Amino acid sequence: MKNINTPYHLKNKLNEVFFIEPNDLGWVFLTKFYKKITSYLKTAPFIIIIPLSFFFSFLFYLIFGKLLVKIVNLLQYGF
Amino acid sequence: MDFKKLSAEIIASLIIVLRRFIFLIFTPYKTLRKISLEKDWSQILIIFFMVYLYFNFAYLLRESIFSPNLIFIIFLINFFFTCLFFYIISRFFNKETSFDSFVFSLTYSLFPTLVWFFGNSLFYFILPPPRRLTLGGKIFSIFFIAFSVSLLIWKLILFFLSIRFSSRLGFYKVFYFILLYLCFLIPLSILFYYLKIFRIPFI
Repeated sequence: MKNINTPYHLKNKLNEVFFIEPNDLGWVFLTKFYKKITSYLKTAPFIIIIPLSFFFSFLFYLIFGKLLVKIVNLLQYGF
Repeated sequence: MDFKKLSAEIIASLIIVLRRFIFLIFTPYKTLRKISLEKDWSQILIIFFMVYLYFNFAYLLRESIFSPNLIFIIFLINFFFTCLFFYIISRFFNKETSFDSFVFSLTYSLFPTLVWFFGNSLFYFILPPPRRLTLGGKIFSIFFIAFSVSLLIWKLILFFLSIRFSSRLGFYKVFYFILLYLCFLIPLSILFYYLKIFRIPFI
């Protein structure tokens, strides 16, 4: 049976997606690079963000050592 | 006034807010795009009520010289000034922007802020500072920094998307607006720090 609401929903969906112009950074390679990076952040960005955060946090500890603990003390008093 | 209809509307808005909070974790781009076109102001009131609850909870844990009601009013003034700032500056480039859109998208972008502040309060209660240079202290410090950095990156993503969808402008203009906003935010945050209102900016 034909769904008579399909064109209406499709039109609404197209309006929602295209109400804003796609980003153009001026140079083709820059625009492609931007779209590549943001494609990972548009859906479930935590898959990338959480492991990277742990990696950089551990790296920060290896480089700066005690300073990390002092920063955490500062942040814990920050609320 | 029909009380049943009002309470049904509030419950429906609460469910939408909670549902959108979860979607902001999994599909922030698509969710914020829909939020920027939203018109239901009761969702804003619900989120502001959560912020108000947080300030009262923080006041119970750490007594401050200012009452939570005053801090909440200062937060509201700061928040609406932020929305107005971006709205006015966007109007120079695009007449189709609306103030409501900025309020809705920036309110939902408060979610990572709320999570961090609530989480920090809980850590303060469960594991009060100061952290020591023991193995446990170092492991917790690495975890806490990773937790903070993850939420900060998520907040930056939501903030950028809020300005992008509400202003409907491109990457460079949005980046420029955020830099201009920092020129105002950084001195204000320093002032709040010295006045002991907000040690870390609640934006």
